[in-house]
Amino acid sequence: MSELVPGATRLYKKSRAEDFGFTLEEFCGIVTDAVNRQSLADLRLNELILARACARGNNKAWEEFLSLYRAKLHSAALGITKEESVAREIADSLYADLYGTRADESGERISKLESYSGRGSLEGWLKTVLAQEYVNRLRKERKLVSFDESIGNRMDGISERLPEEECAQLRQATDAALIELSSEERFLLAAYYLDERTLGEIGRMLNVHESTVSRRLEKITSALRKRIIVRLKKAGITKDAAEEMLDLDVRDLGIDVRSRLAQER
Amino acid sequence: MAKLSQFVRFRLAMQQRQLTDHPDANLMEAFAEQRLSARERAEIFGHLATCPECREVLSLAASADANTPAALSERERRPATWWIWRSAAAAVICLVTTVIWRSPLFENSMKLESTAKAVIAKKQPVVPAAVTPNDVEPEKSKPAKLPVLPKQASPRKSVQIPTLRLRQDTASHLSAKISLPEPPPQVEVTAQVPSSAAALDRAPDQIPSEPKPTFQTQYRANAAKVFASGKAYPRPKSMWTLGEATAAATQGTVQKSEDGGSTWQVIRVDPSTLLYALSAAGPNIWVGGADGKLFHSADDGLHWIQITVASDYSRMTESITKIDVIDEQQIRLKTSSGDEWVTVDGGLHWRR
Repeated sequence: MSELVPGATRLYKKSRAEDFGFTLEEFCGIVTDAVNRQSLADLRLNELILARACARGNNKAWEEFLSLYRAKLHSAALGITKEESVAREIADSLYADLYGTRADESGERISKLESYSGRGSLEGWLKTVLAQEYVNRLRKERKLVSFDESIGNRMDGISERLPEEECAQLRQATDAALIELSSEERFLLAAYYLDERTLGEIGRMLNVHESTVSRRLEKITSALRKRIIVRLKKAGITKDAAEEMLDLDVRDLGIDVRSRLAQER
Repeated sequence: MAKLSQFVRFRLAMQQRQLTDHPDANLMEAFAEQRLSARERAEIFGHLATCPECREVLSLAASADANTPAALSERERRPATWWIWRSAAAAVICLVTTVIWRSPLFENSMKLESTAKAVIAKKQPVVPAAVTPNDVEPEKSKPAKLPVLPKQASPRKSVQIPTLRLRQDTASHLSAKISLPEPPPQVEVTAQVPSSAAALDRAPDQIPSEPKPTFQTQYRANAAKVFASGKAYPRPKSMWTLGEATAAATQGTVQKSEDGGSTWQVIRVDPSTLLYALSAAGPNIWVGGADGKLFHSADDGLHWIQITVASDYSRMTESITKIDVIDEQQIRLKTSSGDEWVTVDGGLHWRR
């Protein structure tokens, strides 16, 4: 199998797989499996081998893992939860999962580290897993308000302002313009205008400066408005009327949001 | 920020879904690290655009480094104003430093120190001082010119500070030894001139053995008194800039100021390399230059190591034109060919 992995022996030594008790064949098996999903050049080989060795219960690997990631994991948990006690709780819970508290049919422990693919950094993966755990926990505790609820709350007490026909034209024009946007553009709009995240937060999510996010949002918003107006004009609405329709407060549109959400899903 | 029509916002909200099938942590992390193919990235964006939960996960993971609740919210919505606060903070630091320098307490401590040094200089034999690679860069022509340097000749604002008066004492002591013209009793020089260091280069065997008074020694001496008096004392902040790449004498050097920019120390990094980029974050200083050479100091410029920027299959050989320090572990380099190299483990591993 080693001939399937170019430079297998060199990589085997470099990744310290031997130190963690893997044979060359086992190492090649792990690498072959991982490169099915990505190129070898992009693989975080050392971290993948460390994670797999920990999943197998290698003590040396665990020592190294703890020395490298223990402090970072607690710090990340605190950064995510902003509460010391909750941070400790989810970090400890993740440790248990990483070590493997459940067993498969043959009685072998199932370590969460087994699912690390080496595609991103191990540290980043741990942070993402922590964030997922935290969001799951919030959902279970019903601390996350669903969009249906939040929109419904905002749209309560609406009154009729536009005729149904014009409202339908506006809806069609808007939906068509939104579909024309790229998925990245829709993500930016959703993150900023729906989640009400700051430019800095979005910048950190995408690894770009907040001024870049700001510029892009400006561009998307103005382009979107122009496209909607063009579509409304095509539907026979004057530019001024189209502008006026877009500037209406949605709460004045006479839409029963709760029933609309129920219909459209 | 342009206002998005309420109706558009409403229609956008209608596209949100309560999904149950989410990308796994590997994909999300690879997305955050920009390691996905364009197609995969577009797919993840498509999911994120309609899944508020995954946006929350991505945001939390991205802000996980901040131990304290990040200073998010309103301040970050106004990116154009950050420099005002930073400039104001820098101005306050400079003002406080200047006031302390000019304070009677500081003057007294300097007079005492200067008197003591003069006495020691007379009594002790002259031995050359040890020079380390990071010592102050010698400037050969400065000692002779020091006494007659006109006030207007300096491009920087002339500051009369005790440090330089002390150096003037040293210079007059040196001039007696190496037969330089007698300096006038009171001179005003630019804060940048390292007179004793220049003399060191000119006549190494004529240099007094006592350590050159630095900002830190003065700071410590004065700080002890101020602390004893129960008053607060500001810590100096290091400022960094590149040496002039065109001048042979400053090639491969950077300059550091610990007093808000009044005086600058020239620090040698690698004289054989032209340096083009510098980034400082606390005590971590990163400097990059020609031929892909990257240098790092983790102790505010005292010691430097050269970092090899290479992935498993390629090595960076282009000039480094920009260094972005995202945090202690994540550094992004830009090269003259437009490539970008990133490390997420403080420079141990790199990827293009």
